[in-house]
Amino acid sequence: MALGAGKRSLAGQLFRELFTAMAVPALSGIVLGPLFTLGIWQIFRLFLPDKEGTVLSFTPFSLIICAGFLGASLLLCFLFAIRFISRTNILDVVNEQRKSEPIRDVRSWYLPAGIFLIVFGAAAGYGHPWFFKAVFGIFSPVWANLLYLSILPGIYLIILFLVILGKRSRKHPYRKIIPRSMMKFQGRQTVNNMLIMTLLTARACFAMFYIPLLASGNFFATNAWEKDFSMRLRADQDMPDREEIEQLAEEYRLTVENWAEAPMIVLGEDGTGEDIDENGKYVYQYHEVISDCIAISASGYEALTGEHLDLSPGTYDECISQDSAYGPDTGTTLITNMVTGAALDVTYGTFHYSHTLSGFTVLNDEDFARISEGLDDSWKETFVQFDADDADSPYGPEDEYRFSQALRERLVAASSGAGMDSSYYSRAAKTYCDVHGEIYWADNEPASSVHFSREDADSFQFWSLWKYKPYFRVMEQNNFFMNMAILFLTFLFMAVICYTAALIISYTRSITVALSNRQVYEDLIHLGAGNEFRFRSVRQQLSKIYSLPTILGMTAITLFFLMILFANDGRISLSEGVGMGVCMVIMLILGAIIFLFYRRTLKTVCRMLDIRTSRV
Amino acid sequence: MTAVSRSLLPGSTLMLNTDFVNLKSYENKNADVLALTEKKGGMHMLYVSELHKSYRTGSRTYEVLKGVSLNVEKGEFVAVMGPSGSGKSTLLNCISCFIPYESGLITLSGEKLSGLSEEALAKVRNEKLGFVFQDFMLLDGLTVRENILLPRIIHGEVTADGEKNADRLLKLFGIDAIRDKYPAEISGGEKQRTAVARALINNPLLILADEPTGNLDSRSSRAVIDSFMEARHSLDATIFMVTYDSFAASFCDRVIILKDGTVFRTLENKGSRPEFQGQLLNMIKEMSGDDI
Ligand SMILES: Nc1ncnc2c1ncn2[C@@H]1O[C@H](COP(=O)(O)OP(=O)(O)O)[C@@H](O)[C@H]1O
Ligand SMILES: [Mg+2]
Repeated sequence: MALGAGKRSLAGQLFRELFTAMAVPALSGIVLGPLFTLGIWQIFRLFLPDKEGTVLSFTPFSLIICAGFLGASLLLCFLFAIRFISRTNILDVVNEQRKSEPIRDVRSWYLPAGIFLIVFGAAAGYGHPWFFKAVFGIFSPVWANLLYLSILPGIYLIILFLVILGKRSRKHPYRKIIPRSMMKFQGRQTVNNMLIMTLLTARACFAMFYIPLLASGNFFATNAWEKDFSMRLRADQDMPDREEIEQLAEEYRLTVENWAEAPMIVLGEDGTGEDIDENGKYVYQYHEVISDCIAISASGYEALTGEHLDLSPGTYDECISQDSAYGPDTGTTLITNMVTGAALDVTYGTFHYSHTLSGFTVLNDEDFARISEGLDDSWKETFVQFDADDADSPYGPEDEYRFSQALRERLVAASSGAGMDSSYYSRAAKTYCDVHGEIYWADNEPASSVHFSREDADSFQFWSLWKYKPYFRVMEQNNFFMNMAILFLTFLFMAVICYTAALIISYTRSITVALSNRQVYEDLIHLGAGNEFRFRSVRQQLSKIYSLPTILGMTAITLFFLMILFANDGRISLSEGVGMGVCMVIMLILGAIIFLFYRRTLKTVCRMLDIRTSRV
Repeated sequence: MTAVSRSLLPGSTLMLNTDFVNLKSYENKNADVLALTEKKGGMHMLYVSELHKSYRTGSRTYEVLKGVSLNVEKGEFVAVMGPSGSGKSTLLNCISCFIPYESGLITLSGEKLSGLSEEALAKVRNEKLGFVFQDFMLLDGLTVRENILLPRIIHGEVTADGEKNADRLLKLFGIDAIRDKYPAEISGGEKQRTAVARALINNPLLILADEPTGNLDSRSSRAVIDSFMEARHSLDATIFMVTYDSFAASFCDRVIILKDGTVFRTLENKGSRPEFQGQLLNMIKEMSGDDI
């Protein structure tokens, strides 16, 4: 940069360069982004069961987002450039390049303090709703989410400590002092970059982790179902009967086996509602009818499971799934027939493990008969479950999948009115509120958020929240990936972007280290540093740049996930364990990629510093 | 024959005789001549004979050193003076084998360095040579004391002995109070004294100093020269310094004047320092007079 150059021409030059430096990557990004998406989508399609039904579409809106982002970053860059240019003295600018920000005092308490801040941030950020509820009885304020932020200074302190101070061994206090001193002199910039790399790594892992955890959860859950097919059939609608289902199965070369069915009724049950008043305070109020009670009789239970129950009058049993996070509902004292208003005092007996029946209440046969009296068909259902044998089908699971779809379509087509309710919606509670002139919460919500329409039938929402969602194992497993497609694509995208960004920053940081220490490495030759010594010194610096953010980011996110998995039900279930295991494998693969990248960078940097790398 | 006779230096008549006598019997057999000069070099701490070095820039070749010969004895403080661009740094870089040269022989206490492997060379630079540079070349991220220990650190271990040595040097050169400061926090003179201490930490055979006072004011220069004198006096160090500075050079036992790529003259310090400096200044005047 010629010092004599006028500020104006300098500015022009800078802006031109800045513009090309921004525009070229931006434009290629806009072109390559969709191609990249298309690529991922093609890979993804290989796993999709329904290749025609799902199509990838690009909306012009994505371009608007791109343009907005580009505009914002251009604006920022130019603002900084203008500030840079408007400095009174051009020599300031020149000196700026020489100024480095060494880090002086790093104390040994940085490490424990950093760990504390991270643990505190994670625990407080995640646990604050519980804390505010338990201690103050209020809904935790929004700002409490900022508690997560204390993780940032925590990571910063740890990186500072590890980069600059490290643990000096008592025996060899000078061992790594040279690379460390160089890093120290790179100062804040290196540490800042490493902090960002750590966050990007953590973010990438966070995105990657969701998939295995969801997948393993889905896999374990569906495999644990006692029957291949189970569903609730409302009595007031034209639902298929056994004969029709068997016929439909035959069309797909399947044989229906282990058919079991039982009458089921929907009652109202009492409970204490938890609500939040205007002041954010938790208020608790008892309601005679707070939600639906889906009940079967003891003999119905026996018909479905083959297990005989001896229930004394006035007691109820609960069915829960083995991996239930909450345990059985033991607090019900009153159940009500919503048509006649007849009520029955009940007490909790015990619980039974069952995946397909989870959430159902079992009543003594006499109680069941008595409380059913006067119910119209809209409160009556039949619960059906069966297996399908595909031994006669040359297509096996594929036939089973297509049969599932046909049956599902049949069920959706037959459903209307209350048959399309969301699982959040309690018809019993709504009825009770209407009778007593109270307002049911859903009255304040748009109807579409609690009742589905036929058009919703293909949506992810409907599939996950429909109150009468049938449980068909093959379909559930096949649809899992399709239902997760968007989620998966998004996560994969985020992971790839974050990872690439982290790698690029690591690379440029490494190159900077090399360039800014060129002179030092030359001086070291004069002082008798051999090739081996210089090589080791470079390696120590680069390995830190690559390994620290990787290890920190991965550890942090693993611990965070373990904390969440543990906190939600006080244990790590088998499916969660397996999911985390898969995550570990993913991390190993990512680690290997980073390692390879690190080796390449090491070679490049050594070449720049005239250091032989025959051993690499 | 001519090669050897040109290596004769003023003020070393004894050498002239040995040279002459020995050469007679060996005639012109080149290998033998080399063996002989090598043997002869063994008598000196530093021995440079007929050093030729040229730089190639583009298609042109500049010969910078055109047969430089000189020697330094143990415990001597010798300066090479010459104008900027006369090849002083080049000479030092050749001595430490930092750059290759076309021909000539350099021995350090009888050992030829040019044939050594890279790692062996590193060992020699680390243990037998000490360097002091014009721009100090301290590591910014290390404290004064750590910088002094740097050759030991490079060597692979810092013994209790080494630390004791560092502390002794800190006191000797009056920089004990700033031992835990970083280079950015100390003055130029203090930096250079730190560099001198660093050069001495391994008790090297020879200290090579490239314009050590070039970036310093006169007071700091004096302090640095004092530290050289102190090193010679109490540590029996041998110092070979190249400089442009007649004041610094006037403290030396002997000053070799470099001109046009060869040794122009050697002056010996026999009287008082100011007298010697006057002598040096006259010489420089005379030299530049020649040029014009
Ligand atoms: N690496 C190099 N390549 C080409 N020419 C060089 C190189 N190093 C030094 N020179 C030239 O050699 C001459 C002597 O340089 P140098 O030994 O640095 O002189 P001094 O130290 O006496 O000032 C100068 O003319 C310089 O330009
Ligand atoms: Mg020079």
